[in-house]
Amino acid sequence: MSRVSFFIYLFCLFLVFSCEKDLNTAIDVFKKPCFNCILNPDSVITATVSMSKSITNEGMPDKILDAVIELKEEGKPSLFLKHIGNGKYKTDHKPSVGTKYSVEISIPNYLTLKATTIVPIRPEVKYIKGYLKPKEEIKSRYSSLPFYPYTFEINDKPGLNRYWVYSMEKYIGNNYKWDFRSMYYGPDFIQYDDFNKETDAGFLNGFYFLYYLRILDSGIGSNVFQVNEECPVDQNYRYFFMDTDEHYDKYLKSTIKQAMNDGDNLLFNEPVQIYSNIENGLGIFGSAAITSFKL
Amino acid sequence: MRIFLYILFIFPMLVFAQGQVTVSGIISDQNSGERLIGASIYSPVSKLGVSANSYGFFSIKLPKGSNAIQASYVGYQTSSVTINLRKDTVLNFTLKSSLILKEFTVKGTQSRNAHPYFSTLNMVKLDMAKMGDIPAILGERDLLKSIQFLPGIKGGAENTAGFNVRGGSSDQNLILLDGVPVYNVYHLMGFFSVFNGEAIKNAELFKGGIPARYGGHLSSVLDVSMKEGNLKKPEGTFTISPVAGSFTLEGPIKKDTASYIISVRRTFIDFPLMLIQKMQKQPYIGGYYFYDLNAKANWMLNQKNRIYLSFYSGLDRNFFTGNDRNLKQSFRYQWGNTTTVLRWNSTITPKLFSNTSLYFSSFNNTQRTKAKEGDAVNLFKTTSKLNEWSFKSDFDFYVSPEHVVRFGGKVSLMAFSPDILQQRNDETETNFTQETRKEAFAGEVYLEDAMEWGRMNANVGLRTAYYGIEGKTYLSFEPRIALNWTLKPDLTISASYMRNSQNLHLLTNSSLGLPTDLWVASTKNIAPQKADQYSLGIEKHIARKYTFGLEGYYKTLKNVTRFNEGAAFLSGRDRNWENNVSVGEGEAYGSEFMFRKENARLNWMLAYTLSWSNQRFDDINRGRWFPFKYDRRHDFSALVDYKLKSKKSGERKISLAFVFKSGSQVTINDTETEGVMLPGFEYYASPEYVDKFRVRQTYENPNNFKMPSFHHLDLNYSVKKYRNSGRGHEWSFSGYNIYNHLNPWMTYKEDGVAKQLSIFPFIPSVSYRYKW
Repeated sequence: MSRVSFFIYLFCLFLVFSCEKDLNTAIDVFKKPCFNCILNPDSVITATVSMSKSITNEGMPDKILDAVIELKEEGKPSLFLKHIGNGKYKTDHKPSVGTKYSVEISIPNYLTLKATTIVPIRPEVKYIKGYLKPKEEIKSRYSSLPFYPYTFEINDKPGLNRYWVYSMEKYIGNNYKWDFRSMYYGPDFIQYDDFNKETDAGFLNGFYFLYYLRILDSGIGSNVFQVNEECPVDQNYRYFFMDTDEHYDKYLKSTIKQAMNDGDNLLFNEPVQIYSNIENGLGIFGSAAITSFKL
Repeated sequence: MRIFLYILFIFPMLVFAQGQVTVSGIISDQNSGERLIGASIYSPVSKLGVSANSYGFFSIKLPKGSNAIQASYVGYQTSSVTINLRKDTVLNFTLKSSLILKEFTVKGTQSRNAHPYFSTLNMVKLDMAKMGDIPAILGERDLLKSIQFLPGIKGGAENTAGFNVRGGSSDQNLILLDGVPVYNVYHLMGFFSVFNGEAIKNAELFKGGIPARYGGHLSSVLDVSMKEGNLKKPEGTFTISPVAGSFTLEGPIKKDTASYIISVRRTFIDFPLMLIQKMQKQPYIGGYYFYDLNAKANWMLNQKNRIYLSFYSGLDRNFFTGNDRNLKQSFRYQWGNTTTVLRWNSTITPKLFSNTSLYFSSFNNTQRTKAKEGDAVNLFKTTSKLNEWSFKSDFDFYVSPEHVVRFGGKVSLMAFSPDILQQRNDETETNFTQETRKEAFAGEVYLEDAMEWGRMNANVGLRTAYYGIEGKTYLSFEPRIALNWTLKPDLTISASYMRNSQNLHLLTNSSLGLPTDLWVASTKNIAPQKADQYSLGIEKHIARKYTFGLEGYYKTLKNVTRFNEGAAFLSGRDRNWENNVSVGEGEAYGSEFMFRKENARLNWMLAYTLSWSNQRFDDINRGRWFPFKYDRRHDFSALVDYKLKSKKSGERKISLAFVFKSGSQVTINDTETEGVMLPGFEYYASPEYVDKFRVRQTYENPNNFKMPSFHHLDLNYSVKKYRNSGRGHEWSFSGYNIYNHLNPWMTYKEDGVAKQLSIFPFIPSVSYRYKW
């Protein structure tokens, strides 16, 4: 190798290897207690309390075992959730729909965490099952089997509601595996939130909604929202119509956005901040009421 | 209010001097006929002086009788005439270029500041000759990178042409080319701007107290003028650098009456790339290039009227084509601007000058994929377009040497078509998202008054803007005031206030000038952006060589937009952009410091900015304030150039540039918390997904991580040779980042580890310029 070639080679190496290095992204994170509790009128109240941690530390967040959780139901005496182990807390009480709840969590050496929520009323939904149709008539997606058309009607309640629709499917004979059924289309008059809309040429209109369909409600009330589905005969289906309070709604959106962001794996995506309504801490205190159908 | 208006506009008109005549005319270059923007006219007897406007036009009132009148301009020999004035007179000056005598020309002339109403830190006239001496990466001189050495202007990612002024985002800069807004001013991921230095005559940058004649953007105005073309003789320039070459030709169409200039620049990195791919017999051939084409022609209809026709087209194209067995595929990703303007300059009376323009500006971004197999054809195309058609008229009324009133207006029709999807095959042709196309109408009128009262210089004005879209109208009143008070001949205090509004929003994922950036209009849901800025400064000249400036500013912004977290047009999701942006407010404050020495042999400038910039959005970060992405606390730059040799036959010069900037802010997840299982997942038997949501990653506030500081030292050595015939050539040898500091250009994660990518280590380059 001539001297000139050697220097050119050395120079190229210099350019190539000088371009990338690890970045120390350690940030001093103030640990905060994290309280999670979603009230559901069909379930007893459970919650978890843990401590946030720096992302650079290995392992799961530490559980907090000595929190005192006082739950106040509008116009009733306070309830206290009992620690049942591993940072989980419970009371046998079921929340009531349309009721405001506030919570205070006392943890030694930390400011008291506070949050409130109003439990929504269950969505009023009915469905109409159509006649069995041949596979050729399916519009929404590819199918090799006949299908039943279903029309779900949500009778909108007065005020601003935050409806979420999701469904699960399972092949008949498969006893253990339920899968999310992508929400793929709705009539044009449904004002849907496209935050989780994914482009896919395999679906009608070229898109579907990841996991959930979030319906935008104008708040006027007295509308009837329709969701149409085409269900091939080889599967079982579960349909869920959920109304959430404003906090759980934002929490869900931020979580799903983050999941989608991770899936995109794009260099320029900005991370998503997970929504929290916990004063002096992190986590979520929200509520949801669900109407479900097994088809 | 009436008193205010009286003081500003009426009173100055009443102080007309009696027994005077008006001398008006054009100041131009003797060799080329190019009009000299901002050239000075001075009368030593009456001690009155004025500056030429953007078209080289001046108008001055002088006493009747014998008067000596001097015309001067930096880099030119002063021209003097003595004339007996009896009536209004037209007097044109042609100045002879004097590169070697530059220092004597400057010192020996009562040179006048063309903008005495603005502090040096609020308004900068960019010296295009000096721009050529600033060290440039890969030998490509760039206007937008050069201005980043100025205080108060912060660059985006390393070596990108995008810039942020006083806490504003890059879309808040109004960038005009011959009076026409250019929307996407970047090539090649922002590494180069669309401005071809060979075609540019002049550039002025306003950061504060922006005159009322400019509007439509919040933070700054960069007004770039193209050369007009040599009226006397044909000329040409050829330049070549490691990445691009340019060719410029100019000359008279009819001597002293009409001229043209045409300038083309193109990168050639695609040629060797394609050659290698062909030699390797690869089935697919791909590459990338960009080009700029500037063309301009002008006709002097008579002494009072002149018509200009300017055209600019720039395009970036990333492409590949291939043929694999029966399958033919092609992919094209291209984006670019086209502007064209027809202008008419008219000297209506010796005191009234008008400029009327009809222009079109367009930004187009297209991604097209085509596959053909036999007779079957599949086409997928996405386009984003912004088209603007405008008619505007501006008038300069020279009431007296101390008093110029400017007024005018503009009407515009804008059409926005962001993110239009088209899919076509043999069976179907589908167009998605057509509904996102919107049309907007805008109208603006302004009145501006530039006055000199003894030691006080003032530029005050009012701009009124109307904007209508989707049946909704917005009206904004934008007062502007710039005051400059000369306490002593060498000491000036300045103050300014301005309000601006902006109907356009740039939705961007990054500062890289990517083609995925979308220009969208304010809608019935998203109101125009607004900003108020106050500044106060002091400027001191020492021994006529040194200039020291210090200025503080405070700016508030309203209705600024930001992508919602997680939203990204890069993902290809079909989105309605209005659902994916947040609207909020911002504030920026800081102080700028500048110390400059200018003499012919050694020139240097030190600039330092200390600043803060924050934003707040209701639905981000629980409505709390957080730092702006380019909230760089410290920003220091130094420029030095030294002439080793300067003779009539040539020049050798060495220049040095150093930049230090605090790191920009990025958002990274810093915290992990326990999460709530999402609804439905209790039925979902796949454990990996259930686990996935057990822990959430989040962060305390957006832009929570400060990137490492950014600094580099660059050197340039240039040799210029001139001949009497006007021919000459120039060699430039540059070294960028000579101590090879790895500045972060971007960050990414690989296997959970954050990494910084640095793409500009030490880079030597050489460029050549030939002029005939």
